[in-house]
Amino acid sequence: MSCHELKNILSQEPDGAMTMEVRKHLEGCADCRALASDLAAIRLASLDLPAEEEPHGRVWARIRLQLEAEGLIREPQFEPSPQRVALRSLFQRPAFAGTVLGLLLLAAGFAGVRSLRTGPDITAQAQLPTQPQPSEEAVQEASLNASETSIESLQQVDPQVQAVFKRDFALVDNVISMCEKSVREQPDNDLAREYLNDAYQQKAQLLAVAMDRGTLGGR
Amino acid sequence: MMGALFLIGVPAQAHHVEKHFQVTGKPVVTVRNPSGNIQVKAWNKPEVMISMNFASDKLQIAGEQAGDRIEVETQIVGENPTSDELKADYVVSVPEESELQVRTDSGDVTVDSVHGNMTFDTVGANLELSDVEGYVVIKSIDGSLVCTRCAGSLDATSISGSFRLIQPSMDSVRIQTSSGNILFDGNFIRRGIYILKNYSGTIEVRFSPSDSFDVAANSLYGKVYNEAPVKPDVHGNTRPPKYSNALLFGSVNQGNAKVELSSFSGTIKILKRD
Repeated sequence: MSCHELKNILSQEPDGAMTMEVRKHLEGCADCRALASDLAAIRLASLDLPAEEEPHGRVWARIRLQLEAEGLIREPQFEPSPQRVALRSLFQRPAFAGTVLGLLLLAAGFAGVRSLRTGPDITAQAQLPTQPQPSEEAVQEASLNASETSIESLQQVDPQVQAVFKRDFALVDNVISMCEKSVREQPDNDLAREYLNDAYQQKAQLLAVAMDRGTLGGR
Repeated sequence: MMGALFLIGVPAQAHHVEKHFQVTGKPVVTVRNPSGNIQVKAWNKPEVMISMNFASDKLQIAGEQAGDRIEVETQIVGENPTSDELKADYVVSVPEESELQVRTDSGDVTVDSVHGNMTFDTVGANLELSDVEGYVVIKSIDGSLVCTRCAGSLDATSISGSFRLIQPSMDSVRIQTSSGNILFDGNFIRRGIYILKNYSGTIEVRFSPSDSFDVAANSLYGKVYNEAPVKPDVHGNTRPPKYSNALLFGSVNQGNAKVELSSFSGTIKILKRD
């Protein structure tokens, strides 16, 4: 067994049982022995690492709105600066973009739903940060922009699938619109609010799937 | 068994490929096929057989086996394929207790007599499951589900897909769709939970006189039609505030199962089975 083969085995099956061949090579090769020892130490140390805490959805929503307000993630009318290119490429990753846009809609939707109440909402005021809330128009515009961007990314996909997405984006946007109207008319109706939140979640799901299929070509 | 990878290029003419994978326990079979039909059926051999038919030089089939995990994928290698050029049809034979993971976007998927857990990730494929068991998870955008004599549990979300459950024996059913219809024509198992929700369209459940369930049916702007002998809730549950245009709340017989039917503007029907 060569050192190259051993390294492949250690990387592909880090927790696998050592075969006689592997043991024999390690006995005779100090470099590979050191590598195996390092990998074992890393594995052990990783067990003590604390679990990652995902930032709250509002964090992503605030980031996006702030970036939009600063003009850092809008459609370029001139040659984009390297900073804008880097930010754009970040948002062009399907999983990240879908998650950000989905969380944007969810978080902005929750905030927008609260803004639809006619009376003061002490609870909402106590919970939300002091930064200005996204307006309903901002949420709608972000939502429609996200739909158009996702549909554009589907140019290389089966036309039948593209048609499904176009139709269902329109359907969900209509549902969101009707639900928002219902919440405005009956601010204390928890069921209407629940449907609106469900609609935002469906929009987020649709965005994520469209971006996944479009960018990866359905692979 | 170490991973075995194969790639199959496609000549210009129609092509048939068949691969056999020996397995020992309960295999996990993953099929990713953007377009085309997928048919899965169970057999009593310790083997997974995958048969593929396709007719395009813009497709390539990739597969890999690592122990009892088998993955097969249709890959697009040409540029700007048409809808017809994307199609690949699969026939998959698996041991009865296999787990399935299917990802497809268009075409029909049929599964017969497989008893392992299953997940389906689809855009517009129509699913037809019969005599399946296990935990079934469906995430679809469009496309319908017809589930006949299915057991286990079902968790399904869709945007515009419709759902029909015929003679199910499931103790947990959660279905949420926006504009699709939902039909549940089966028995409510004791301690079962059945949550059916849509934005518009029809939700229809059929019951027998011997069924025993708590029911909460509400349609915000639509209607509820009920043929069940609902009496005041026997468990002391609080009646929800009446914001809905139509609301039904109570118990049928002893209220052994829990049934929640909810629609934004659609119609809910609770009908006696003939």
